[in-house]
Amino acid sequence: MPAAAGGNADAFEALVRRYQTRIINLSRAYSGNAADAEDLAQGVFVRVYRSLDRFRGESLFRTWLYKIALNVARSHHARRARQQPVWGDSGADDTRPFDPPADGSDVEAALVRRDAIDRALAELPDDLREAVILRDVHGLDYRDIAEAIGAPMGTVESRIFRARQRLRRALAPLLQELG
Amino acid sequence: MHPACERIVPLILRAADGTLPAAQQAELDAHVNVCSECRVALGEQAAMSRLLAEIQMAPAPRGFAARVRQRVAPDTGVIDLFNWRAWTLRLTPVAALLALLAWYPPANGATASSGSQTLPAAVDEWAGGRAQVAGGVLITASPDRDALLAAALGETSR
Repeated sequence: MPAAAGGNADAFEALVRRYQTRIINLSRAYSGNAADAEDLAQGVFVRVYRSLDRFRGESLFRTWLYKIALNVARSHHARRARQQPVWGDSGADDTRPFDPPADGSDVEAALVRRDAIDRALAELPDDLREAVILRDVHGLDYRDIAEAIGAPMGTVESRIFRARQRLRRALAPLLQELG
Repeated sequence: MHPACERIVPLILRAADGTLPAAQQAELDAHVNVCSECRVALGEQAAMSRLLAEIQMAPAPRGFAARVRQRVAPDTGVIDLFNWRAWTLRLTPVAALLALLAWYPPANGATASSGSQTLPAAVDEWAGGRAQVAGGVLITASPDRDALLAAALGETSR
């Protein structure tokens, strides 16, 4: 392998390490299971590598990466929806990521809370879920979200606002428990 | 929500996730002091934002980056040097280029200036204006992927 290409591969691997957690978790939100999420995320990075020459630097690399990841995930989601049987296994697994409480408090309560949040997110329409996850879980700013999902800023704001309202209603019992 | 409150939504959103500039905070405060619906909305939006921000992402599977690397830049072993099929495939663009050069000599007039000597227009266009002839050899500069990657790595991730 030529030295230059080797150098590229090293730099690219460093880039993958930096963003792998974000892209795998985003893919997971669409695929519903860990195995598909890794395949999807690999596909995202392969596409990024092959398209690097088309990245013009007009946006942040991170925004461009998310844009590609969303396109790949949406295509997968649409394909799977077409193949989905009317009844039967959704393909989702029960090994959702779980973050045990760092303060040593009740693990079971934390598990219940995380499960409730995941279910509430899953009940949202795709466009609302996508926007609120990018903002509140991935921490993208509003302008970057608008660019990544290809929608005007006002639309993004409206989606995030409505997503949080719906989540608030769905999670009302949980929030009451938390006080 | 009252239609007149729609313009406050962007302010509520940003106040809820702690990104509202101080200059706009006064405008929001003035509104929520007189609008109970927006005051409630602000509280709900902030609660949801905090709750979702607690979600920790699952770590990437071990070896993920290496597997991606293997897909985009598989290591080539010594044995690959003796693989005539691989060589033939790799040399195809070179052969096509030489054929183009032979078929479109500069004397035909359809030329473009690039570097110290003239190039056939088709070749110059193909190379995106980055080609030149030096010592009878065509040289093309590939886009600087190293620079693109270095810039991407220079970005802060959040």
